[in-house]
Amino acid sequence: MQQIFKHHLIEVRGHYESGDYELGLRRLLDCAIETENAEVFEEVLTFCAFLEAHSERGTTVLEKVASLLEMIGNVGAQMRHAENREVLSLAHIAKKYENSGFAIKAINFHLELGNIMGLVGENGNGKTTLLRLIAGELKADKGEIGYPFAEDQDEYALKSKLIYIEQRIPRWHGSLMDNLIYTTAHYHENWKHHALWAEIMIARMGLRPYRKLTWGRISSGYRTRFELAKTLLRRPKLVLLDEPLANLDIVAQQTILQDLKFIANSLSAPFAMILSSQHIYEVEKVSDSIMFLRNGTAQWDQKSQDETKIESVLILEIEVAADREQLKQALSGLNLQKIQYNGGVFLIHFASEHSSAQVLAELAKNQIEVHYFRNISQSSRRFFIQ
Amino acid sequence: MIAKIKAQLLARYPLLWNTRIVFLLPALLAIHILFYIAGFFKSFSLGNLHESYYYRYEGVVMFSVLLTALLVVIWLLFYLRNNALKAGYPLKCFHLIKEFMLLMVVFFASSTFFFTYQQGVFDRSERETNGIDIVEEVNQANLAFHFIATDQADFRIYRSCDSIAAREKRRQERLDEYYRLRDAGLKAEGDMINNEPINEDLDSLPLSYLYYCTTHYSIGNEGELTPPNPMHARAHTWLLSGNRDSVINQLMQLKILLAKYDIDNNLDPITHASSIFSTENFKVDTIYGSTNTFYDQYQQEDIPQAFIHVSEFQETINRIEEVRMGFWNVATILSMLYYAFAMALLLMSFRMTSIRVWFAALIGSGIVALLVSLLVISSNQGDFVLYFIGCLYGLFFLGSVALIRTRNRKFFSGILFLWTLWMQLSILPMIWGKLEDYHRHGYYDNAYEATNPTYQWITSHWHEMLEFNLILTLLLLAFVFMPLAKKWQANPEE
Repeated sequence: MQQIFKHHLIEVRGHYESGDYELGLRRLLDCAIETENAEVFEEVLTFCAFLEAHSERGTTVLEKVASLLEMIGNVGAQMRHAENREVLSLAHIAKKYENSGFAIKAINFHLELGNIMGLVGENGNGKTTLLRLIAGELKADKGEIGYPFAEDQDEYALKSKLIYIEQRIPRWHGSLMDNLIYTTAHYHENWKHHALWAEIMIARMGLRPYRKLTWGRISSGYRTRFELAKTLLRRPKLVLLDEPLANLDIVAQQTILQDLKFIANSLSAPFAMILSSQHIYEVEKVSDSIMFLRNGTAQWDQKSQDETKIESVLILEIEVAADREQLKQALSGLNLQKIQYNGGVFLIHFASEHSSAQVLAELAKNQIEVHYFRNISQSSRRFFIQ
Repeated sequence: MIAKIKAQLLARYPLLWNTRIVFLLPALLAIHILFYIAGFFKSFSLGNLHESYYYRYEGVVMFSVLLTALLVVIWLLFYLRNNALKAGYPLKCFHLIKEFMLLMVVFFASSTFFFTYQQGVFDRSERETNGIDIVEEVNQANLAFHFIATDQADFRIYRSCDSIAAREKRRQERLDEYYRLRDAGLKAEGDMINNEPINEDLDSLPLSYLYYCTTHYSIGNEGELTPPNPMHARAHTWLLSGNRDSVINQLMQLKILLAKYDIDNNLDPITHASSIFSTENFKVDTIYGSTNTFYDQYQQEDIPQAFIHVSEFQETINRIEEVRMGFWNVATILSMLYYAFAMALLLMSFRMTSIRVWFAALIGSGIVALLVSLLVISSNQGDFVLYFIGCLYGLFFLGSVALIRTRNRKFFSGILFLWTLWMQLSILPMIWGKLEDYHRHGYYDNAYEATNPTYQWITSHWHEMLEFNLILTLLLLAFVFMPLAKKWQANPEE
């Protein structure tokens, strides 16, 4: 595993040398966190302060990064080998609401450390209910939920490592830093540098400029980030995120998801994660598996789905400067099966012998300007099509 | 400095940081010191000791209560910011009971400003009065009151020492007769015994200073007063031997004492002594007014009367004895501890459950209390209601434990849990009271009757039981209720 860590350090150097300073800093902080070393934290935080004070990114920065990477490499990552990487297993979980009649039906899956599972589906189809069942906030009518990481512990101890972040994040009172340190102090008695931990996590989530503010003075997007920082300080084994992207701008969505992917696969403190979201494409990018819920039933589980069962059809989502007839005309040379229009984009179904490159070529040949193009044949997006 | 302490507390002792106890206690201590100083430097005069309002501190009590409320509200704004239990953070061993104890300290320290003020007043009074020989002064006054009539009845012949001895003899005879009749089944147990031996026309009896056989003033634990008989013998000797100077001297001693404590009077020792010796058989012809009301009444009616505010001297003596004993007795401490315990329990229960459950339990407990009260009124059966409350407690306790352990009906189990918790402090005293009542049947109202030893033991051990009850509740909190609260927190909704 130390080899993997060394590879990470080389990646960081590569990011800096390529000029990807923002990504480089985030990954550098990841590597620093892996060391769990107070001196490393202090050095990295000094470096962060230096970056905030100096806008130019020249050789000085590269030298400092090189020095930091050497220090981090010498300290090494705190590896923790898990005998059993499985953290969650659901077997035939079912839950019915007597009043509305809505039911979650026979859900089965399992998750391992480092896995990220996307939970997608339209509103009111059971995403939050499933997350609350897993979080232990609701009692299942049938089936069994297993948490192998907490087999010998009581329910309260389990919940301290199973963290469910609701859509509406409860307000924090008092200073943000105090809240983070308060959380850390409960979790890590043997850590002597709780404030440093809070600082480094704040830096990792890109929140340093806001750390001295209060809850009321930050936007909802930053509140989500602070909540994530607090969650990461709790060193969870399983994180359940209900619509975490709702309050984030498009850049932040991509950054946060990518960060979560990196952090979930940490060498020192890996965790599994389930995130529900309407942002299908962003979620698909970072998820190891996707579950699409319709009427409480898992309609498609990307990971467990047998490849042969996947519908053999090319489905494209496109936005063009043309109407339906012009588009039909332009694509008449292909085996077009169906065109749907939702007022913004076209959803076009072709026989499986075609490829997206062929479709693009046809559109170019007919001089139809393409504003947006996405192949959703393998995406859960196609399940949203009526 | 403060920031550094705060940072250290936050990182190493999050419980102490969250309760703000490290900053709150010095602040409370400072307020206590200020209250003590205010009490100590309150204007003092020996002449004020008899004033009933001197030890009544309505203004201070009101200010103390308001200050307590203000401090507690401000403190709650900080304390309620974070809740490790509800956040699902791992809690160290006995974290919750430690938190509970800290809450108790806060409530105890923030609600006792008035007592500190009182301590200041007492300490000052004690310092100013510690040279006073109470026994000597009361003896002097008691001897003087052989020659001052404030109540005609004390100077009637049947109140003479000889009559009293005879009366006691007759009373004992009647008591013996009562026992005989009772043992023979001719008299019911508990019947009152008529203690009054005289059935004569009291007002027609002559009044004389020779018949006085009373001890006018009494004291508590300060020492032994001179026994009545030698004192009466001395007074009789002065009267019968015509020792007018000794009587004047004794009245002068009283006059000095009254002046010392600023007690209103118009006693003229020489004139009064002359009037005593000028009558046949030392007949009482002057009755001194003895109360303020009496005095004011005569003032208004403009009738010149002899008066001494005799009760004010007793008040003064009582005050001096009171400050010497101090006010921190077991009952006071226990009552404050119970108050702090109950408040801490109420707040802790709020912290351990959800707001919805807590308020539902609060409203529910009001409804239950109302129903039980109606039951008490309608049934008029104290025992039945007591058993009913006991059964309710048992049901609440068993119900909450069963539902929480089986992870069922979180809302309802939370309400049952809170009701059990809130009733806990009163269960043992209730049982104790019931036991006392049960054994009371062997007791007779007359103090001379034999009493049931079990009843006596129960009655004399209320304080010990209340202390034990606090410890028991604390143990139940630590080992039963708080683990249950953690379990309840982790349980799923219905």
